[in-house]
Amino acid sequence: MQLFEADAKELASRFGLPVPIGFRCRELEELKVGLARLGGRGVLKAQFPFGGRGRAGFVRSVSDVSELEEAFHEMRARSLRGLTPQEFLLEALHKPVAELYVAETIDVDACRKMLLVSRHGGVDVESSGSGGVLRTSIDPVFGLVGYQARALAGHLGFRDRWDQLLALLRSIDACFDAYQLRLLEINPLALMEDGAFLCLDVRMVVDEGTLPRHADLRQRLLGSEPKLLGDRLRLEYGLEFVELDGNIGLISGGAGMTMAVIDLIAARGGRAACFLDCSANPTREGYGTALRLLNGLRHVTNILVSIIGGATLVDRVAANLVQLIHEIHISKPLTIRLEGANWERAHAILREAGISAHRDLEEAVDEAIRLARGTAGVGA
Amino acid sequence: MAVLVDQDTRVVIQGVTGRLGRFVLKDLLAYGTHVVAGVSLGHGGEVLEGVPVFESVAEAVSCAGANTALIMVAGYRGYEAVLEAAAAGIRLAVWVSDPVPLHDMMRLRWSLPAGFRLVGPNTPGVISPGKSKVGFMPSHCYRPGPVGVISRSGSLSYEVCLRLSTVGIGQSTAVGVGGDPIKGLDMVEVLSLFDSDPETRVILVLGEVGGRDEYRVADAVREGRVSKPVVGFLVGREAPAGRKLGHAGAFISSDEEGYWPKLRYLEASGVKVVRSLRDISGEVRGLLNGT
Repeated sequence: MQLFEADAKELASRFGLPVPIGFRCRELEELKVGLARLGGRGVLKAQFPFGGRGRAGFVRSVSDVSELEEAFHEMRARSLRGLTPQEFLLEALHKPVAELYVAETIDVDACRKMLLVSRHGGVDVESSGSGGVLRTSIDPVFGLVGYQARALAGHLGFRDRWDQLLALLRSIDACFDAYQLRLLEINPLALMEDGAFLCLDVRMVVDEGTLPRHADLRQRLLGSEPKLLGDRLRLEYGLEFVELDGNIGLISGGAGMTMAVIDLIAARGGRAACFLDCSANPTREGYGTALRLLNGLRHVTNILVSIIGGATLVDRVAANLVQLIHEIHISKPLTIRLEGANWERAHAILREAGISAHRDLEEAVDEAIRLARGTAGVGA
Repeated sequence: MAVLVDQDTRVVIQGVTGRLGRFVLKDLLAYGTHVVAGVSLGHGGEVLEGVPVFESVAEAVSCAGANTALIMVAGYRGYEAVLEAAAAGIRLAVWVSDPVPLHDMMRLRWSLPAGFRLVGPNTPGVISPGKSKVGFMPSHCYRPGPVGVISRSGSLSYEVCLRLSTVGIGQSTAVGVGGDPIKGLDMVEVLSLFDSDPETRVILVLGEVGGRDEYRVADAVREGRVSKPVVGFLVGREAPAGRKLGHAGAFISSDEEGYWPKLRYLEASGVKVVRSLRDISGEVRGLLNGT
């Protein structure tokens, strides 16, 4: 999950990374005060939990109050990936002599941290091809060392100031370690006329596994609005949700089996509406959230619950489903497939409640596909 | 024979007093696994289901003769449990926790002593049907037999083993290597264990989109480092590129990590890749009859 730029910059500055002066605001009046403090000119940047806003027109330089007002209202009237911005960062305007790219991530095959550096930063770094991006592996014991900084500085075109680059990269690495990030990206890293570096944009991708350790990061993620639906479901309910382009709402357990059922639905002539894995929260709350969500999504014609449980005892799943079916008015046809630990009791519980269920996966998938065609026909 | 766990496996459960720990303790004892100890800080001296609980893994080793650890503590605290098990002389640790910080796993890989084996994290564990179960997979899905199963996904391995068992094809051992991008034993290391195991006649590899594990399996087959027939099955054919579908490892970060490139490479390397769940048993049976 990605932090807002404003949060990422605040955290980065704690490690000595230079960021522009800026004001984080929700309201136009606050932004106007900020603009006055910046001397009447600045860059207005909408805050989203993902990249790609620059091309979509959510970063605009403004040179007076009327331009600020216009940019603010214009951004508030539009959306990106379904989200309308609620928070803004207004920063001082800078004119760098060069825009570089620096990122740190984990190379999982080498089991080491890795730096990626390019002389061509900015919104087009990905399209510039991998040829310009230099990868440097960080020693697990010694960290980044001088010869590496000299090579990188040479690649960037200022070999004589490699020690300045080394200091910056070590700050990046310290921040990456402290928050145990999956990705720390500075793009662009501005090289200013006086030779100083300035991090014009900072992107941090947080590892969900570290959140019990980093209450601060968790609070920042929870407080960032707007959120992508998948991020909200993961943070608040422990559900993994990815929307797909089909119409069968699949509720499943375990990543591998969820993918297997999505593949199976497609192979037998249907399309899944989502990847929705409840295995991290196999409770009434988890399944209830999933059922309410799919019941409310317009393009979902019917719902398939397919669980093969190990640590998730499916008799508990069955008991939860019986209660939820009584609690929620599920307006869409429901197909249930339960297998795994305690499956006999699970099926007995459903039978007693008058709910039919399958053990065989293909049978359940075929029924869901039939129901999807039937309901799609009724709706059309 | 079998790989990793068998009748001589003597298990200590770390985190035995947690909700999942207590459930697994009962379940393993019912299966016949030799659970000789539990470890839980502040619970030393207690007895759960007839099994003594200690304050440290070192005591579980010296007092109860544990040689295998099942780690059931919270993901962000798991690395300590792994280090403790390794220091106490445990030879195999099965680490089921999820989610585990990737930074922890990266550092652990550089810290573990030679000769210590780690399975996981983010795995249901390891089962040698009829001999020993060290994990939380549903027991009725498995029966003893000649197929060695390697899987990144727990749920998928239950489904596939159930289908095999239902038609009378048993498993020597089913190993969940785990769904994370950095793990202890990886697929190709387990592949080589199965290749040396006299009881295993066919090896079944259950893979996914994302990561490069399946390429290492393919290379081992291609280079003749595996003498037994290898069957593969891949999930994620319909996964949208660049989107994370649950498993941290199933993130398609390059085209090569997608379904079709992986499938083609495996096939070109001599792995028989089955396209549908239904066809796995038939393919495995054919190879068993042929060997």
